Amino acid sequence: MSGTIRIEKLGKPGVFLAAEGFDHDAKRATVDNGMTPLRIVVIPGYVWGQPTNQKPPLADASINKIIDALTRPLKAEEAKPEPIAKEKFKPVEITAESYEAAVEKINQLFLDNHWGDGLSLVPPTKKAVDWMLTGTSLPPDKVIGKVDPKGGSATVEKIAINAVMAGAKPEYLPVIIAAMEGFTDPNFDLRHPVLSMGSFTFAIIVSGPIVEGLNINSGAGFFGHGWRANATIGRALRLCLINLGHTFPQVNDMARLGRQSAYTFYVMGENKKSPWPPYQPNFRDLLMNFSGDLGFCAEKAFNFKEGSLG
Amino acid sequence: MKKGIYLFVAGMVGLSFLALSIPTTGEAVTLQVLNPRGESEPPQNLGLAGRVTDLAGKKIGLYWLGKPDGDVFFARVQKLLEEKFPTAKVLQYTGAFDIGDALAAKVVKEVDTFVYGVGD
Repeated sequence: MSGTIRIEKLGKPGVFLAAEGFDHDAKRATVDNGMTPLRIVVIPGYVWGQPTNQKPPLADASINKIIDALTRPLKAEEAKPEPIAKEKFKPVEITAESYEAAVEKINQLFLDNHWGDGLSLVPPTKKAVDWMLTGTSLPPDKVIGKVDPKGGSATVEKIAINAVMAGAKPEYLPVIIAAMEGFTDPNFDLRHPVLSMGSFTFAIIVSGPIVEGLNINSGAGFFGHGWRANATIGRALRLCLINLGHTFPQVNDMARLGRQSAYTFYVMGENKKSPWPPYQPNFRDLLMNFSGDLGFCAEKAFNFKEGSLG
Repeated sequence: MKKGIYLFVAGMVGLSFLALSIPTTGEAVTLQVLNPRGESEPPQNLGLAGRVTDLAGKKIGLYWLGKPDGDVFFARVQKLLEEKFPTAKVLQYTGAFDIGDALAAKVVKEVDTFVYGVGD
């Protein structure tokens, strides 16, 4: 989509072809990329991986629409579209007959708006967010970066709000902020692993004394459950990507099988007993590296044993 | 008189117990929560490039990012365009998901109009 707009901006008229099921994603991308009138032809029945001989008939069925999109004169609103309105996200007030009912209402509202991940969220009240912000000396309005694909501003406060929702503790906040700094670095391709059909996941490796300080599991089961730091740092990061980058499954996150890091990333601490040298100095030039955090796009997990995978 | 007082006190105590035993509706709870969404400045909304009025005699670019069978689909699109517009010239391009500046500049130089598909 962004490539189509790139060429249109250079003055050549074109059409974007979207497989059925990707049309909402394509339409949304026209907003994010600043060309809402872009002509899109949806190819019904086009599925990646279907038998090869099923592809030509799909072209036969769509060719007239493609020709029409290339040649139909522009309407006035296509040549000069309305400006895109800025979205404002204000605090939300919920009243219910009890605290429990209010929490339930907040959870439903957040999920309905695609602001949650489907698990129960801790309500990010001002008091809870102020508590979370005690974990950092950075000012709440400091912008850590812009999160793809929407380019939402990752302020320290917004990161803290999502950390509260994830059930994190203030002492985890510096790790979460450092990882967000990595994800928003222009050299890191965040757009692809959060939008693509491929079921990419993320891994965060934390090194240094903070591993023990935060009780980040670096032993057996380090990708598993049972450690609050591992679980909630990863969940806070997923919520940050959902809310600051504006992604959601079937809307613009098109991972066919979903993502293994759906609810929390692979977060692990470096193990002192590891026979390998520390990651941080070795990967410094190779991967992104901030404040002892190292984040990268990952594949599924395997067990290594005597040269084999299991 | 004393008996009357005793009865009155006993009645009041009984009423008090009765009142306590009736479930009461608690006061409404209001929670204000901060918004987790990241705000951004909207991009400038640009209009489309002017269309070609006819494909006859035009150079038409087809861009495909290399996913399996996209080439089969686009080969058919090329055949159909050449059948319908024998004087048109169809040029095929392949590259990354986003075409990038360099290839976009080349395409812009070589075609009059284009079809962009990623093969999903």
